[in-house]
This record gives sequence, C-alpha cells and structure tokens, in this order.
Amino acid sequence: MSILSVPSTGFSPCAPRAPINLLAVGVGGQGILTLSALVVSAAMEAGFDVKQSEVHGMAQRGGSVMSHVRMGQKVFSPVIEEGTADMIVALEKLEALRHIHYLAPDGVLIVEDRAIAPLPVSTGEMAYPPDVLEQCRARAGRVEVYDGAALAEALGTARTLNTCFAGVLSRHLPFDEAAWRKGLEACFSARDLEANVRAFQYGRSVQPV
Amino acid sequence: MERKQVLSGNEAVAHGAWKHGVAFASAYPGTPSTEILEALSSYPDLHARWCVNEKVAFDEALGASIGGVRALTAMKHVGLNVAADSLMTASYTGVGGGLVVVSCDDPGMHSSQNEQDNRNYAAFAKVPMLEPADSQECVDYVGHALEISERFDTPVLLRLTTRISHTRCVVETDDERRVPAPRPFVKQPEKYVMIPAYARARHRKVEERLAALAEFAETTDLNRIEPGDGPFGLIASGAAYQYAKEAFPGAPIYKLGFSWPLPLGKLREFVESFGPGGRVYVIEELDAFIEEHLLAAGISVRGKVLLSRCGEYTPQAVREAIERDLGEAAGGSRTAARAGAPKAGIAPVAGLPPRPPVMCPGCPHRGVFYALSKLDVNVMGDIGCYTLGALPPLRAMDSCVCMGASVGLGAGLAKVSERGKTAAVIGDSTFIHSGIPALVDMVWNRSASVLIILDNRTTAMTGRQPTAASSASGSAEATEGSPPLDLARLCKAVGVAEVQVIDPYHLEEVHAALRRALANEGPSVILTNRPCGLLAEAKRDDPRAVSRDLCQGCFQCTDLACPALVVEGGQMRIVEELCRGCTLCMQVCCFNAISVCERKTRS
Repeated sequence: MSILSVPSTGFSPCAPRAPINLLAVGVGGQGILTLSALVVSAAMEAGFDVKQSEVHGMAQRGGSVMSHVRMGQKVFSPVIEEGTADMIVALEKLEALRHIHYLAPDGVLIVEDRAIAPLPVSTGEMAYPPDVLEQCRARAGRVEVYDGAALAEALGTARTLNTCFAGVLSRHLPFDEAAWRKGLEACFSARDLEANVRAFQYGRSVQPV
Repeated sequence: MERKQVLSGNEAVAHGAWKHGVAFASAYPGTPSTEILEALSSYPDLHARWCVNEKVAFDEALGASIGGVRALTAMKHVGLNVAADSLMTASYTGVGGGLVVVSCDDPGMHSSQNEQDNRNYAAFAKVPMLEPADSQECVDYVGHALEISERFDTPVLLRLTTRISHTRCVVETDDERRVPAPRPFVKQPEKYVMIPAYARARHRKVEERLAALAEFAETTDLNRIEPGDGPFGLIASGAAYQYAKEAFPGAPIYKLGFSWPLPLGKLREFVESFGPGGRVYVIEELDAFIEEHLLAAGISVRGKVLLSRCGEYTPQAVREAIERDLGEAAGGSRTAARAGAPKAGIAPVAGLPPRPPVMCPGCPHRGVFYALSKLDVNVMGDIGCYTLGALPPLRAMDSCVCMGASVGLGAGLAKVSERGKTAAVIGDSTFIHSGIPALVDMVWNRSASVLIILDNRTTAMTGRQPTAASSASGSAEATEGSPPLDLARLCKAVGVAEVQVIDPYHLEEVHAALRRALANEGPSVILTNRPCGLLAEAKRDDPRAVSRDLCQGCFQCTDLACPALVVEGGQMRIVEELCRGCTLCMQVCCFNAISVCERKTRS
C-alpha cells in the first residue's frame, strides 16, 4: 500500500486556513441555492477550496431551505457546525431566528425583513412571532437588516433579490471584484446577466436599515 | 487540458461516467440520486434513459454490459431493494463491459422512508464497493470502478450518501473521453445462464473472486494512510471521512476508498501501530459495518459504543464522542468527561412555528385528500408528493411503506375490514413503477378496495422526470410511433370493471366518484386527470380573492392546507401571487365569500 501524505490542495495560500462559514437560509423558491452557487463560483475564482451542501426533495415544497457554504485553503466537512457560522444570510426572518444557533459569537446575521407565513401560521393554528427581529438582535452581536420591499422597488423586480444579497455578502468576503464578476458570468445566462450584475452592485453599496 | 469546475457529487459521477467511456446509463428517479441521470442526459456520445423502476434500469444496464459496453445504473438506497434480485445473481454472471451500480444512501432520511445502510449489499452480494468522499473522487472512482469491474468480472457498487451526492465542490478534470474497445457479445451459457448446474460453478468463481478482491484491497491506492500525530487513530470512508478530518485534522487516519472487501491485513497493521491499549476509532454513519468486520477478525477498534447508528453525523458529534472517550480512558469519570468545557454560543430557539413542506397551490392532489379527509375510510398511501396528504390538517393517509405498496396494502386491509372502508392512493409514476402487478392481483383476488391513481403526468417529487404515461420515451432521443401508456386502458385491460376518470379540481365529482367506488363489491379504480401545477402544460386560472364583507371567519377552507390561504385578523385572505385559481376554496366556502380577484375582473 502506498502511504500518501495529504495531497497538496493547489488552492491559493491567501485563503484562510480556518474556512469561512456561510449559512444561507430561507423558504423553498426564494433562490437560496442560486445565491449559494454564486458565492461558490466567486470563491473558486478567488482561489479558495469550497464546499456547498444542501438537501433536496421534501424541502422544495415550501419548506425551510438551508445551504451550507464553506471556503478556505482546504475544506473537509460539507456542513457547518452549530456556533461556527461567520455569517448567516436569511431571506426570511423567521428562518433567521430558526437557524441563529449556527452563528459564531462574533458572526454577522444578514436578514431580509420579510415574513412568509408557514402553514401552521396561515391556518391560524400558531402565531408568527411579532418580534422576530428583536429576538435576533437580543441573541446575535451583529445584525444587519435589509428591507426586502424597498430593495425590490429599487431594483424594479423581486426576482434578483437573492443576487442583491450576494452583493451585501460580498462586503464581508475577501474576494476581489474580478472573482465576483466571473462568478456572476458562470451563474447566469447572457440574458439574465445584466440585471443580476446590477442587483449585485446595488447590494454591494446599500446600507442596512 | 485540466480545468476547474464546481460539481455536485451526482454531477461528478455523471462526468466520470462520460469521461471513462460509459455508453449506456439507466435510472429511476429517487432523492438523493436523481441528478446523476439528469446530468448524463446532457452529455453527447452516450445513451441515458429513465426506466420504469430500478430493477428494469439495472437489468438494462446489465444487458448493455453483456453486450460489451461500459454501463452505469443509479438509484437511491431503497431502489437497490427493488433491483436486489438482479444484483444478487449478476454477481454470479459477472459482466461484459464494466458495470457500475450507484447507490445513493440517505442517512438522516432527508427524503426517504428508511435509512438502510447499503454497504451491507456489497457484502451480501459479494461484490466490491467504492466510496468516494468528495466530487473529485466521484469523477475518478467511476473510472476505477469500471476497471475493477472488467478486471474481476463483477458489478461494482459505488456508494454515495446525501452529503456526497448533494455537496458541490471544486473538481479538476480534463474534457477528454476515453472509450475502451467494445467486447462484442459472445454466447457463454455457462457464464450467463444461471440454471443450477452452471450457477454452482459460478458460485465457486464468486468466492475465488472475493478472495482476489481482498488481496487487491491490500494493495490499491484507493485505500491510504494519512499520517499524523496523536495517541489515537481513525478509520473512515465517504462523508464520515470528512467529518473525522474536520474533527481531528492532525490525527492519523486510515481512509478507505475501496471499502469492500476490507483490507484486513493493512487495517490490522494500522491498529497495532498504536501499541497495546492504543485506541483506534471507526467513524461510520448508520451500521457498524467496518467495525463489526474488524472485531470479527480480532482487530480491536471502537465505534458504535460512542456514536449512534441513527442519522447523519457532524464533526461536532465525532469530536465530542472521541474526546469524551479519551477523557474517560485518562481516568475521568463519564459524567466529569461529559461536563467538560461549557458550551458557549447561542442556544437554539424553541417553540417557533415549524415550516413543513406542503402541497403547492393549485396541486391536483389536494382535492382528493380533502374529500378523503371527510370520509370514514382508511387510506393506504404511497411514495410521492402526495404523501404530504398524511400531514395535518389533511391527515388523509394512514400508511406509507415503500414504492407500490399501497395497492397490496389496500387489498389486504380490505379483505379483513368492513366493506366500503378501504382505499389506496398512488401516483402515476409509482403505479407504473410497481403498482401494476398488485392491481392485477387485486382483480384476480377480487379485493373490494378502491385504487385512486393520482395521474399528474410526471414524477413530481424528484423534480418532474417523465413517466411512461407522460412521455413517448425515457430518453432524450426522438421516438416515433410509440404513444405514452394509457393508464385507463391498462386498468380495463387487466380486468377492472369500473374505471372512473375524474377532474380533481371538482370536489363534487371527486366525492361522487369515491362514494360510487366505495359501494362497489369488487375492485375499482379512480383516475385523476390534472397535470402537476409545476408543469408547463398545467392551466393557470385567475387568482381568487376573499370578500371581507362575506367571510365569516369559519376557517373551513384552512382544511385544504393551501399555502395561498392565510388567516388574517379573524378572516381569510388569499395571497394573490400564490393563487393559481384552482377554485377548491370557492367550492368549500359556505358563504360564497370567494370570487375572482376584482382587479383581474376589471382588466
């Protein structure tokens, strides 16, 4: 048997040794997976090793969606451990609160101020907690809230909101413009590219509420 | 030229199959395996097809292999149960061209009815098994599996789990396809005709092959030691290897890529290198597959005494279990070791409203389950989107076991129940998969059960793959003169006296059909005729709205479990963007409070 050492990774030495952990959460149909795919492409272009993991199947039917993205010199586990997410991006606020225990003590929670009623709420069986954002702020040190409706109005469409949040995330990630540009080109068809570049650029500069 | 790209494990298996010259690929959809054949369908120079079930997919791949080309068949873990009959004897016949059987297991049951560990099939069928631990290995291992298949004349099991299949990572690969020379079919009845006289000789070959494979396991580079420091060692394969590396990046680890038969000699050396009393941990999700074989060989390892046989692992679970064990070994008590460092961080928030998956707005299944929920009837269910009919508030399904089981369960239950109390519900794809023989039996044995076939013209749950009733072919290749299967004619042809075809958007029609069928003395079939709302062919009507003047807040319509219907301020509201105008809520409303959205009417 050959005894091999760990193969050299071939990834950029600029990438941090301890991976950056990003958790993207929301509701089926919101574009969480496209958002993750864009971050993954940019990370690869920036020379990072990267793993992104999600679960298909039952989750697609309006259920909670959770996507793990890990980026660094060498990434082993495809899943983020509780208490270690450097950032959580939540496109729905109840989902932010549901997954907040994944956040690292110094992690940042980026949340869209948007409520989508889950079935027990829409049938009147349970109440949507009225103070979700306050509950988030009480638990996490750094919380950035963005008004989804205002963003959609500024963009002229709600369809590229997920890409807009990738722009918000880009301020917290060590990839240069060129890597993001290549990532956008890899993720979108020529037809959709321009609208998504615009949404990304808007997210890169927009301030939280 | 080598090029970097991001591929999921499933996409990587497809790329590996193309790259290593697979000419024929077959599958039946099933999470987490579906994307393998979906991806293969977009590659040139190979034939990829959906089949009616996993056994047929397996048989067709074996047939292509016997015909001399490289073949691959992919399925979810429980799909291999369906194909197991073929696998067990294909182990005896061996192959022509290389044959890879991909099994995608689902620890944690993200989208499955059980979490069986299909590594046991490798041992049971006496075939070799490879377990990739990331997408790069998925590409490469398909090639190794094909070579091993041809060299040792055996099908090879390639076992993935959800976290391998559905993890995207960076893959470096060239875009060059290498196709070995075909090995044209040669008549060899002693090899392929498994009558007892020939099969006895083949069984001896299987045992010789297993011994040769055990020797191969000791020398292949697919198994390796990653040296490190530390007083303890780790043994792992697949996703569990990644969790072990994450938990203890510096610990020596024996990584198994070729995990059946096990390299017992090399594993014994590895374990003994830690000295007497040294600790080596086997990290493996689900069964104690590696651990039990090592213990049986007198190799001392620890595993399931610390870690669960249920569910997915995490690096956290692995780290905590081993640290606790090392703490105890160092003299600490179990409780003291457990107390350890206090856990910092944010506690999970309890009591939040859950967000379960639901049937989509406009789903054609909803009306049938609503009608069933209002009847005193026991409903045997099956596998598909419609299994969601078991959840509250519908609660209109009383069993779900495995693909096609509803029909037989209904027949058995009907025989021992009062008349008119039993129904079975099955989707079109599941009915074609394994419900048809049970329907023949229902007729033959005169079972007074009602079979409801929810024909939405697609395999919806796994992402809308075609079925034999919805498409003229399971492959992308154009076919002429082969119309899709006619389910109503099929039911009549096997002898069902009454087949009612109904529109599931019309509740009165659904109720009437159910009443009529339940009153029958013999077997009866109800066939629904609306396509899945997500298909392009599905008709979409104007959204409806609730009149604030007329809604009395009775909440009768919430029993429909439609995501477009929301309770707000003691009344109902319809979320316009979600509503597809199926009109079920209008039909259940006693106060005529629901009508076409005004804004739409004006325009």
